[in-house]
Amino acid sequence: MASELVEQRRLRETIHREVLPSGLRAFVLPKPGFQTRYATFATRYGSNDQNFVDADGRRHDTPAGIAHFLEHKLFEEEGGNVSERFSALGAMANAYTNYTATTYLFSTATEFPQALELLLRFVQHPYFTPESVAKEQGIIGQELRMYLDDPRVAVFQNLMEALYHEHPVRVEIGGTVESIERITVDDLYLCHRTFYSPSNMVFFATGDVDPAGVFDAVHRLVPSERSAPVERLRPKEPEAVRSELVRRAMPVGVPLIDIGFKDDPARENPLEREIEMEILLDCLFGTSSDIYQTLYEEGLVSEHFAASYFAGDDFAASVLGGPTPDPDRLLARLLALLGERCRAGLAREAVERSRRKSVGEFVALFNSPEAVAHSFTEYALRGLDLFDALDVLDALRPEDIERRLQEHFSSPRTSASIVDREGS
Amino acid sequence: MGFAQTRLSDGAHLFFWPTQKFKTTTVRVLLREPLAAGAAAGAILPMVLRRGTRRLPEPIELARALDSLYGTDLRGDVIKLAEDQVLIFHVEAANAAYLGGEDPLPGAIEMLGDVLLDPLVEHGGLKQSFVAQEKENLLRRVQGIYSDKAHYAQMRLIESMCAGEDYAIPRLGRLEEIEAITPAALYERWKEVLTRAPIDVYMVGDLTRERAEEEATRLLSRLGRRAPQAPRSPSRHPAPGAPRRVTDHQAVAQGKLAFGFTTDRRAGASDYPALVMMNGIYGGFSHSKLFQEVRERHSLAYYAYSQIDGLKGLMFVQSGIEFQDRGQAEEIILAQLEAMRRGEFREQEMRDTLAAIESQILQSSDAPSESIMTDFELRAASRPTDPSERIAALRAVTADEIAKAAQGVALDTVYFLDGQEGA
Repeated sequence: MASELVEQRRLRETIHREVLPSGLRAFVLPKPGFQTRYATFATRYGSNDQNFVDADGRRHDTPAGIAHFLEHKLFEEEGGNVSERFSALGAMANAYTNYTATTYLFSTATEFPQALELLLRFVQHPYFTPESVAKEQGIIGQELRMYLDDPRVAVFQNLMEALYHEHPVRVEIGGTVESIERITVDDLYLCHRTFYSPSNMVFFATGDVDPAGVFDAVHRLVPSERSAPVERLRPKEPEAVRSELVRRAMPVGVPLIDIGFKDDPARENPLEREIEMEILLDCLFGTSSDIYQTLYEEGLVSEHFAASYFAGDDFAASVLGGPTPDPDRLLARLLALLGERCRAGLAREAVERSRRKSVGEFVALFNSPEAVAHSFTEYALRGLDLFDALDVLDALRPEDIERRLQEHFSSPRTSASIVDREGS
Repeated sequence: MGFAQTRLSDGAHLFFWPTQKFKTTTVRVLLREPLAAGAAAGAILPMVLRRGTRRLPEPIELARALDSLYGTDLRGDVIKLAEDQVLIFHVEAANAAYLGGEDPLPGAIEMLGDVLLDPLVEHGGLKQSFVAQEKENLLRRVQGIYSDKAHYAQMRLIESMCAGEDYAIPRLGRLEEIEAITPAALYERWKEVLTRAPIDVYMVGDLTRERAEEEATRLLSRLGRRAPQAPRSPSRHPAPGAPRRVTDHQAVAQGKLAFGFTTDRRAGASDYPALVMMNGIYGGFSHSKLFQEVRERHSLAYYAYSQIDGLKGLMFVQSGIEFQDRGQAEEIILAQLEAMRRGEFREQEMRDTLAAIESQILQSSDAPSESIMTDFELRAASRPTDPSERIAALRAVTADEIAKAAQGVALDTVYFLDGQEGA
């Protein structure tokens, strides 16, 4: 089967795509002139997928942190670690796990075809032993301890626990030192079998690569059988937040705050919703907004203050925050200024400025093959197309952004998470 | 790839790389000053100048103008280059060919020129309210280092190891310096910087050399008389005696173990590539000895790495560990260095290291800012900038030369960020 070409004319980028008989979706974005050749192989399996019903109808409740643990362990192979074989090819392999996906990747300036073959093979060939699982518990234990000392991780984690009652997005992606001790070899094989089937996965390659050669390798190395779909169990999440304010003290130099506005998951057109929400957040809290400039002059925020829309298929929230000398005052002022803005409405020029800014940033994204690979893959795993973003931005209307403002912020469901300076 | 150099005026040069690879045009101005000239003032200058200009005095106006220029990114920052501080002013605009609208580049360059050479001045100083606000922000950035334990441990290591040397001055300066900054003194300092600092203007994007030279000349057209001073090379760190040991205690979950070593050579020397190879085999990558032994074999850590500062001639190691594993981790880390000194590394380790460094060298041309900073730092160290020349020099290094480089490495200071006593 030949691959299909999708052209983004204005960006002068062409993507080659193909759906394999197994259901794997594969994409190649040629970027001639770049030294880095880059490939990702990702599965729609993240920390949110702890509880599921497998193809045989059996329910499984797995330990927190298992998706991330599996990501680490997949690098293990009989007699060694596959990273070493990437190194020998001059390639750097890596992987990361978030709430909804696990992504494996490599970059290289040299032996691309060999590294590509290695990536496609190792992700599909698990090899776990009790000894290697025990060894990894020590390494990941230190990774988790490193995060325990990171106040940015703590302030966000506490916010998730405050916004959500039941949804698994409130659980740490890596689990805890205790939960990962319960992970067994059998659990790992089960999760690999359940979630690493080609129909649940997306492949993406970019850089100065030959699409035909890449698709050929994918056809050759990815098995063609289709697997039965898995049912991901999600508890019912109440509309209201669990707690309006959480705080803890840590040895930090400057206090931190994250403020969350809980939203209902999108029922339709999630790409449109997410782009419109990002535009709205930029209009409200971006560097050229009244709110940001007012808070900046009052000394409550700095350039590290940021707002973003945090969303997946079954969760959504606006999250904003950063370091601040006075988290309580920042929270009070921000909510007051936001209330005023809701009453006054958005200026049309503000929306147009944000739209232009987003267009420029979208163009700049294509400077980085890695960044494109990540964004594209993240959307593709959810059945969305990054290339559509420019059309959404072109079609954007100020009244849609105004409507989002009223829906999301006029009677908000808000949690705040604060990290105070220890001893103050 | 390569930057073509053009002299603009006394001690001011354009480095231009014409390329269609990127969808933006980047202009970056780098001004190099000694850290000892006042690092806090150096660090705050880009923050203050970036707030507003004579033409756009209100920060919100400036921010809105940038957003209207398709989100043109105008940034200021500083980096530390051994005992110097480099002030960075950066503007990056989307290329008009992809926008279907007007070209944001002329407006972007004009704004950068205003930030550099037409600041907002009142009562003979930089605008008082900007200076006061940015003093607070800088203070918090410096205090914020304490929140990042790996960064904090590295800073404390250097502070202890190089006490009394300019090298110990932190990138953003010290807290007590910030308090003393005044609008008038800051404006004087900025005028001094513009008079004496070497000025490098880098441009990367799809434009002709004529246009690049024209834009760069226009950018600096308001620059006054210059008396540029050549940068000095950093002082030599004295040869270490018995290792100095420093321990701090905090309520943390993980200990940070950090080592400072002297080396017997610096960047630019003909035997420097052997030290680069040595560092790579020892601790630069995931195939390296430190990662393999500390993490993969003994499960003591999530990270363990080494790095070199070639300008100053020092090497550093850091790892995050359980408090009680300190002794074992130190033993393993130092034993691996001993192995390097005895030449105990396989040909495979040399090949993997060479392949990894080659990839790094080639890939540095894949992002505008990274390509600029790589070229700038290589020139600062009088090292060749041509990728194939750099790769050839590394390929020529022998196993004996690598062992010899390791023999020239000596332990100076061991820093440990420990948990709370009695906790």
